[in-house]
Amino acid sequence: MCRRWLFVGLLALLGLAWAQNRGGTLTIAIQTEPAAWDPTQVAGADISRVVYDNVLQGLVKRNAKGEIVPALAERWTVSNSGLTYTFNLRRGVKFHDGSDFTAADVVAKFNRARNPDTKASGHLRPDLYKDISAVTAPNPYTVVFTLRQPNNDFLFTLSRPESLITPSGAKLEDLRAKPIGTGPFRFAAWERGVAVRLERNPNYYIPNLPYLDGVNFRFLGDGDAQLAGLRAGDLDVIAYSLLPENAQVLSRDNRFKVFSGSGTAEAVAGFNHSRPPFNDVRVRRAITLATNKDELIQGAMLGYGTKIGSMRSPGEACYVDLSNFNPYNPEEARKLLAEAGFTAQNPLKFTYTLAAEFPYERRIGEAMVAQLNKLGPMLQVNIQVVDFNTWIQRVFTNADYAMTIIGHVEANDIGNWANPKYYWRYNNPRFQQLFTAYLRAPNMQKACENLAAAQRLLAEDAAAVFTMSLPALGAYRANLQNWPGSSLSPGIAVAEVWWQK
Amino acid sequence: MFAYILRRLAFAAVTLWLATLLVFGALLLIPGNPAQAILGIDATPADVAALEHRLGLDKPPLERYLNWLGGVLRGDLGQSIRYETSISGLIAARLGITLPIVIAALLLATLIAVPLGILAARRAGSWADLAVSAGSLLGVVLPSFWVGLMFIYVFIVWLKLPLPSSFPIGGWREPAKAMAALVLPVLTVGLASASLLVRLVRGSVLEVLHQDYVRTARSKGLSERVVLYKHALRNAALPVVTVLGLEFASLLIATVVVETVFGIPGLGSLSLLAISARDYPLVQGVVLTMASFIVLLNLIVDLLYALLDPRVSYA
Repeated sequence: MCRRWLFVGLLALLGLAWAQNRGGTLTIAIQTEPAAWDPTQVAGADISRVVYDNVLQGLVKRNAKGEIVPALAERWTVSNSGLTYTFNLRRGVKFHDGSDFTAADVVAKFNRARNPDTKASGHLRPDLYKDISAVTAPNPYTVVFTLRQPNNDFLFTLSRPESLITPSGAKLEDLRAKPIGTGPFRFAAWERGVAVRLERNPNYYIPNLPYLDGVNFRFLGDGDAQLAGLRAGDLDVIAYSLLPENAQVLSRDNRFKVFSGSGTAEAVAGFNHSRPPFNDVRVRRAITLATNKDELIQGAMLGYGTKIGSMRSPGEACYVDLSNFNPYNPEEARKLLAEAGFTAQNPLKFTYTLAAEFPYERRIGEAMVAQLNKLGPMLQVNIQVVDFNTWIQRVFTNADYAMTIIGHVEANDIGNWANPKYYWRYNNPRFQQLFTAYLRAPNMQKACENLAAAQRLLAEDAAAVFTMSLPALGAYRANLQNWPGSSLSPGIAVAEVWWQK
Repeated sequence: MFAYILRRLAFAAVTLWLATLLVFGALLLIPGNPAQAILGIDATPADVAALEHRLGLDKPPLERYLNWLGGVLRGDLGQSIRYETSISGLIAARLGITLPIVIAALLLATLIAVPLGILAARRAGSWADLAVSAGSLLGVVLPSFWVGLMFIYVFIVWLKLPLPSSFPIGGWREPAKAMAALVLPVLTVGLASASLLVRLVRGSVLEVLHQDYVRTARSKGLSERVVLYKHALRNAALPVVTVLGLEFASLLIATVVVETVFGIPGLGSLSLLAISARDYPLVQGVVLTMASFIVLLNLIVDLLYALLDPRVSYA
């Protein structure tokens, strides 16, 4: 009797707490506006920031800590051979258009994804799914993937934005402007040039979620305009890319909370390995040794950012700390340049290409050039600033550059170094072997050993100057609760965020 | 007069056509590719080629240009590559924000500059004249993005006036909020424009006041008021009207900066986006729209000039 009353009382309290947590809208500033909202058809980090786990969901997802956890699949099993993955799907899930989510949608999605004819499928990355030999649905709530060979990145691949699932009946053209998923929020409207509006999905399968009635993602590229918007009350959150000096201003104001979460974005000062001077490891090492990363973090980023030494951020699995592998040593750098044949009479001259739109990378690059030019007459570096579209064409597509810097936002993207056609044109068979060994290893321990060796090889080779893991620097109103903070998930998932009233 | 207007219209059409040609040529020269910009850096070359084909970008430039021009002549600006929607719709929505800013700013500038300019001219050399000159110099040299940011800090952050710092989501659906959002941009652009204009009004009035006919009017014993308003100002207005027309054009372009600072989805920010996305038809559409306004205004200024000054002949 007593216990029952206690139970009812608890329920009432819970109900009260629940009511207090609910309601309100949230306006979040993000930097750029994508061209479309379907991550299977268009690439771009800002698409995922908005739709990942807010609107669209996959079988599994990466949470704020970067862990792979269930989403539309309740659980899964992997066969001992590592070749069969069986997923048990959540029941009673509906897409935002009212249709039921079943195994047929999953099968259709992955058959489309692995179709090598991207023109027909409209799916960007068949290369990610090439190890799948079959996807079948023994019943409406079970999906079985059969792989050609073991792949330790397979679950990670299923957690990628490209693996998000939309209704098999939906027209691809329509999904570009209005994605349809199973997430806690429905895509309400896209005001081009202004914002995207999401509204609460009343039929979400997790009871009581989401807490908010709606979320706006506002496109505001200018850092100062973001700051002004937050202080004026038009914005509630600057999700990332808060400028370090603005972070200092906001951290002195108790109406706001500044956060600097760990991210997966490495600021990589890349060399073009396909031609002189950077096909010479002595030159690459010289530039690496002449870069003072601690000073870059303190000076250009006011202390926000984490020193790294290879293509991996500290929050990621199998991370090895190589941040002091090539420590700052200008004397050694001069010696190496002299060995490579550069003198004051015959200096090493090259152009460092920066993309104008990226505030962090641009200031790190400019500070780096100041450091490099301190080496003296044997080294002369020029800066060239181009707009991002030019950068994509010249640097990324045509590899027509000497040195550049860009933030590689994606998690687990060390595999790009195994692709000799990637814009660094890094072609090292030893690295490619190590990366394949990582993918095919029979267990995670062996896999990590190989990935550790791969990270070390990039550092030894001075394959690039891995300057820092960029901070996920942002700020929000102090009465906002449960903000995810870190950037280890591709999405800014706000289902569990609520306003303290 | 009719033949004069006709000749002016033909001239305007040729100017616009040259503008489209220039823009099209410039876009061919700058590096970058809309398909790659849309797909992002993870796309393969095959994906980029497929999208180029879908967008018709694999056709030769001349064919693309002629297709576009043919559409324009039929009143169709085409589809935006980036937004996949009608360009005229996009531009119309943006003009609905930028035009009010420009017109209000120009009104504000005139309201400030004309009385202040006359005052400074009449009391040339006095402290009032000095103050106006110094103030206008400040307005000219301070960059508008900085002034805009300062306005946000002073009016919104410090004084806590209930003004939004950017255009509201939902736009004109909440007219009061949208108007409030335009107050500071109008002030920013209007003050900059007033600074230029006040110097012109002062100089123009001062020059007229030294003319023989003004001395004659004064010597006839007319009151200072009649001399100023009946004789001097009409003539002083000529260069001012011309500059107002030109100011409209330069304000249309100045909004690019101010719209960025205040997060306003107007024509200025649309043109920036169109260029950075290499959205060729959209760039052409925006340029054509801006050029049309400039040409139209020049036409109006010329006609007004003829009305104000009987010495200008239409021949």
